Amino acid sequence: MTEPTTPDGEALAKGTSLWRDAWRRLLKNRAAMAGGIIVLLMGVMALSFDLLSRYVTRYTYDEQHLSYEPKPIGAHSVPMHYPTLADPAEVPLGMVDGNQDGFIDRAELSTYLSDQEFRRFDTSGDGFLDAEEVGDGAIPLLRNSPTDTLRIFDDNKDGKVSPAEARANEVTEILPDGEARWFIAQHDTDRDRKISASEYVGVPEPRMHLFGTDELGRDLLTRVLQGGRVSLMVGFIATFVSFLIGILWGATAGFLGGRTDNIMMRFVDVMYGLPFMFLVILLMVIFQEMPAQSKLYLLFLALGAVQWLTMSRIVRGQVISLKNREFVEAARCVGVSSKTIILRHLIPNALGPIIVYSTLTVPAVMLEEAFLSFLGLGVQAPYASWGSLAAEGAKAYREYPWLIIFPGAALAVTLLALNFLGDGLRDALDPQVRKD
Amino acid sequence: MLRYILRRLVSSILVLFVVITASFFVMRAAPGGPFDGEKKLADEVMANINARYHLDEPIWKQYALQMERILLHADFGPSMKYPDKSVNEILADGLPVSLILGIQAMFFALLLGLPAGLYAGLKQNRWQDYVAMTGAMAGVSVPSFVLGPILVYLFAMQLQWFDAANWNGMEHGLLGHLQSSVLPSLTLGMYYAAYVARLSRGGMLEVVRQDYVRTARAKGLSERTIVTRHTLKGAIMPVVSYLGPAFAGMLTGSVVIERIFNIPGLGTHFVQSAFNRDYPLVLGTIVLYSALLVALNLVVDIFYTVLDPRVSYD
Repeated sequence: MTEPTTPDGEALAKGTSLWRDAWRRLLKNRAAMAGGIIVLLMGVMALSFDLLSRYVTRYTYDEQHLSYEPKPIGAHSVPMHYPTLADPAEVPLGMVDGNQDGFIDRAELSTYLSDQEFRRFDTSGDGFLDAEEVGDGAIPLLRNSPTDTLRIFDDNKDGKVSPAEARANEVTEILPDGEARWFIAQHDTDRDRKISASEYVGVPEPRMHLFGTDELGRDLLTRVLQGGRVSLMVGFIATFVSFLIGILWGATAGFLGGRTDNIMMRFVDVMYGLPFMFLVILLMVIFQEMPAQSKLYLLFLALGAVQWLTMSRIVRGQVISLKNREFVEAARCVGVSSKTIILRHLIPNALGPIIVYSTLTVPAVMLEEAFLSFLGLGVQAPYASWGSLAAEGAKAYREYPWLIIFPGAALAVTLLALNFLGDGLRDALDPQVRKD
Repeated sequence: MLRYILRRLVSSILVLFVVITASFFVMRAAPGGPFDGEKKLADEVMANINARYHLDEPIWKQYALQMERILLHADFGPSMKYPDKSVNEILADGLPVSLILGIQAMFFALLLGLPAGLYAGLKQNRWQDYVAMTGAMAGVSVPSFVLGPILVYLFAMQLQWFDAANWNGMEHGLLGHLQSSVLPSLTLGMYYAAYVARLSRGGMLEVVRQDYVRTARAKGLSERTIVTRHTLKGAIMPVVSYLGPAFAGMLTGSVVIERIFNIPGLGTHFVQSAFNRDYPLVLGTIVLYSALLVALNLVVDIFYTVLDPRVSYD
């Protein structure tokens, strides 16, 4: 924060400046500080999302580990893009060929493949898949099958895999998941349906889904992190847009005054009467088919446009109360241009309430984005935001509560933190205004 | 006062006009039309349909036709997606539902927010204050689509007090209606309850420092009389001026609530009709929403002048 200076750049006489005073008051406000720290943390996480995805969660936000239903908290899959390597070991392959006749037929595949997928693999169209047809396409064939798991690892055939049996087969980590065996299938270079130690080198290790997965088997933690990036980005950029428009509009109106002021603010009044969110909803529906990236920009603009009105009113009020002060008059006397007076003298001095309002605008915008995403109009796949994630979770929150709990909690905590921070800033910057 | 109301009416009409025009042209600028289905229709059929809905005329003429219909006959014409229903009928079905939802939500907002805020203001910086204000902060931070499922899970599924699966109109009796409508109204109203609590606390803090309150105290009036006779009216002023924006926000919020709770109100029609490119229905819903908004704002402002004689708009 810049220290206030006299028009010719000389530092003001010593004393506690407004900003230092405010900073001290803010430090004392524990709720605001906690909020600030949380916001900062969330910001750092959002900015370092790529690193987190690569080195911490090891999943990308759009990689799928399909299963019959969303995987619960603590389930495992094998990351496809950033795998870690497991120790070599000898592991037998799952046998899809249930009756052991050397062919895989439709019935044997019913738990693995849809009819459509089956036809895709069955290139000769004879209703059977032979070894050649399976080839590299073995991926979906070897997916989750509890019976397979049993057949392979249940040494004493009691229908259960005991820890001892799992240990004996050195597959403890791999057990719960089909993808693990998919990777093994990939490494079975001599196609003997067994992986020898030499083939097994570099088999990826399964990783836990700390937050579970969604219905496409995408790691929810990674998606919440990525959604946080989008949500925060929407919040801050849209606020910045409203900040720019509002400041220019309000400062111009307030500084010029008279008829111009009247017309500009009457325009704002009329805009206030418009049901803005409805127009934004309409806009987003209409540009539904736009590419996801450009839709994101449209979202920034649309949400920013909703918020600039109040901002311009606040700035105008501040400017009017400042513009007849002596230092502005002095600047005008020495022939400083209107533009410079607005940019150098009025706006920096009016900054306090503007910062406060901006801080409180960010959560408002994030909430609006979440509303739009909830209606299916905001952030589009493959991107996600906390709003769109929670919207997906809300569809089946009875069966899979974690799908709404994590994104919802992330959103609520961040909004809470931003609100506390904004309130604290207001108390700190403007001690006359009592907390309301 | 009358002049003020007249001026406001004129600007309201201007706003409505802008809204109709903007949504008309935005809608038409959108790719796709109401009759782009899965199957492509034969050219003659298409031509017939277009002629029936005047879609073959130049755009300005369609606009003039639409305006004439709305302004002179208060009629939005037939829906393009549901040919056997007029837009007016669809709106007449949805409006009461949305209104009831909104009114109940506002009732909850005031019922929960006002006492909490006023009480917190009276007990400034004591634990009651902190509890109420932390609750209010949580209320403005938890989005309704998170709160809704939580409430449903607790009160409809676990405790089974409410019915969250259907919307029962008044024809199911008051109890039946409340059983299905309390949760959605509460979900919609919670954010505003929190906001109202914050505002009324601020209002109370402002008022209890006034000289006339000190005078009342000096006269030896009981605390109860001071609060009810002297401070209440002043303390709720900020809340009154917030009612306009609150109604506006509730209108938008109801779109989401109607989606969560499967409520057959206006919001569902609004989003769906925009997706369907059902031009008359989009226009109808948006005009109705805007008219509600404008009217409510006007009522609130007039109410405000009545409550606070210091405010004059002339």
